[in-house]
Amino acid sequence: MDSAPADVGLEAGVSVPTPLKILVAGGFGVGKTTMVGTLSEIPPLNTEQTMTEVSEGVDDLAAVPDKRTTTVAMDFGRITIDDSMILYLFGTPGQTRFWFMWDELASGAVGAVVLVDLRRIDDCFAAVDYFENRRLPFVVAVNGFPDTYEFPESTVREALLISQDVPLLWTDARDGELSRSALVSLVEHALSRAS
Amino acid sequence: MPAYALTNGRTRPRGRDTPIESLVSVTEYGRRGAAALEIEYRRIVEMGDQLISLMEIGYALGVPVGVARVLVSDLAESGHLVVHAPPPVAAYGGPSQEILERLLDGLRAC
Repeated sequence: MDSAPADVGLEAGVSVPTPLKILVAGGFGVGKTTMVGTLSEIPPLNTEQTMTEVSEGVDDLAAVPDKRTTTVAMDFGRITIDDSMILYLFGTPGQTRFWFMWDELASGAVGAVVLVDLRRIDDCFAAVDYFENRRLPFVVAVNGFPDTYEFPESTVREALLISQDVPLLWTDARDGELSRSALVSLVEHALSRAS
Repeated sequence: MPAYALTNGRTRPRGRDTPIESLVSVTEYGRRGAAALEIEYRRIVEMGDQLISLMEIGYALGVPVGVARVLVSDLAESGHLVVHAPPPVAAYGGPSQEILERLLDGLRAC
């Protein structure tokens, strides 16, 4: 291709919004696609992406030389916060037998909402472990499936093995207000880490 | 055609890595020169008419974001596009306090 002068850029006066990203993670069928769809201002995109994969049971992901790539489905949505900020949402896949090396997604992210179905709490452990190891701010949001509002918070915390400083909240991935307040909780939590 | 054939097997762009949420816009040079480009490049330049993320370009082309990154990087190098890298992260690895506060205000106002 031809080369252009070095200084060819945007027209003067055009400001570029800051792109941010939040991950929505959790087990298979827990409501990630639903939550991304509820929050997104565009019809959520479901994309197949090539990602680096690492076997489970490995503590230090960064130290693993033997990485493979695999193709995984991912949900993608967008919220325009204002003229100067766009928030992208990534629904990350729910397989628990393998956890994927989501460095690309997690890098520089605001944080993650880990969705939990209390009838199948084991499904969220991979995500919780991953974000804990990577020190990415996250909140745990119990998705409101039938009969899951019965348990007190302390019982749920104990079952999920999450520490007191991880926000735990109840949500409904179909509900815009509740889903947005899960994001608000996450950003507040991230702020406590950032300041 | 396999997606990676578009990039001659390259999966990483030359130069600095570009996060998938990076926004891309077309330059005046790109606008004028789009017609002369190969089809995939031309489509990207046309998409850049409005700010668009690397992720969305990959989706629109039906290729992995890694492939989109290589193609966008070519177009940035040739001056057709500008890639706007997200702001640098704070010491803890995420966005700065100031950015998070703006995000929080915005989410609450939604």
